[in-house]
Amino acid sequence: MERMEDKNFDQAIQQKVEGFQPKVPAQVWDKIEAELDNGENVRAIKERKISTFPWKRMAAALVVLTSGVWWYARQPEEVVYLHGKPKTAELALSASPQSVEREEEIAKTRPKEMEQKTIQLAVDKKPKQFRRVEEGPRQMVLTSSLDHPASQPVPGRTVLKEEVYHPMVETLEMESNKLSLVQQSVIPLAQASGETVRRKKELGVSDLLNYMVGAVDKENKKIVRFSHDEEGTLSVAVDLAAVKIKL
Amino acid sequence: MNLKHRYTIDDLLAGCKRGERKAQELLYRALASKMYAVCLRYATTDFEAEDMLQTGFVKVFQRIQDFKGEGSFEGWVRRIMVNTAIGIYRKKLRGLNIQSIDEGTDQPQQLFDMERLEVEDLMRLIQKLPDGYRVVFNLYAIEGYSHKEIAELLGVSEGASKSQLSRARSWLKQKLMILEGGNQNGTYGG
Repeated sequence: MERMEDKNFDQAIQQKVEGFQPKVPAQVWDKIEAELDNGENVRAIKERKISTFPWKRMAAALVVLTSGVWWYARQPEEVVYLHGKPKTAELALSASPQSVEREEEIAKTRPKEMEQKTIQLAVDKKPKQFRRVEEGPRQMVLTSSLDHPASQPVPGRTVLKEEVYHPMVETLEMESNKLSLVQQSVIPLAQASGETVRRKKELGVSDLLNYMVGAVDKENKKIVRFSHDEEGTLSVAVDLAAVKIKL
Repeated sequence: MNLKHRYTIDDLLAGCKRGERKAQELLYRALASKMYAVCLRYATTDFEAEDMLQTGFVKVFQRIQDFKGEGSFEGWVRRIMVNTAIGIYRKKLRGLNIQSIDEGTDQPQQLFDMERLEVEDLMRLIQKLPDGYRVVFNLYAIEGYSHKEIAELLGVSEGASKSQLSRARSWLKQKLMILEGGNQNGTYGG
């Protein structure tokens, strides 16, 4: 128990000093102001760093979302594009193995025509040929194999592939008083092959997304991993082990 | 026309929270004297007290967002000042775990005339107290902390806090006696 004398003594001192209001040297405020100026600069930079950080993350997330949506939305278009090409190609695509065999037979029944380097048909001599041109797939097999005279008649699949990517139409050309039937590719070869290459590159969207996600450790573990299948379905995998490492 | 603006503490606080220099200055001017008095009690010199005041107010303005209006603002500022002062002496005070409490044996039973005592003189005496005595006496007798709180604040034992307080009182009483020149007709008696 504290003695009364001590309590009174403390109280007396306290009362005495509590009312004391000394004159504060003027330079103290100047020093405080200077220190605040420096401190505020440092703090402002810190705050700016903190405030911009979520924006970066949000922007990154927006880019990922937008590219994901864009990529997903593009899928049906691509299918339409493939089916929407010239009728010949479409028919060739839908050709069943049976029709391929038929086409082979037809091709074999016309060895004379296959030996030709180019189709140069006089209109008056073979008017039937014209009709076949319009018929599509059958003529396509014919023209396609004629296009590569050196090659032997190939199995149906290979011919079919050529049909799909290089559909040919025959056009009439006037050449020295002769009406010639010259085959022309609907899609220029270079363009056709370019199209194929481009499509392969586009499939790397998930790779791009994977690249954007930062790795958590040296083993390149990532919290979110993107992948896609051939049909273009984008899937997202969350690695809980990586989340644990991150936390 | 009265061009003087009247600010309430809430106005100044709001201004300070927005980082307005004018509000900070006005708030400083309103509290500087009281807080300087606090610093003088913990410091050994006026220069040291000025440094404490400066550091303390910078802390006040930097942490002003933390003040949520619980309790008085002055009390909050005062605690920051006291903590700033303690921070300076904390390391020095680590070695004060001496537990010899011999209260009463060496305390002069004198009467003091506190009314006639100049506050400046008292402040000088407090400043001259040895570091440990001074900090504990300030915390206990003037700020009203308990020995347990002081022990936690300074990182010493409660016994050491009590011991320092007792010695501080004795020291002060002796010095006051000398200051009053043996005048025993005071109004304060033990």
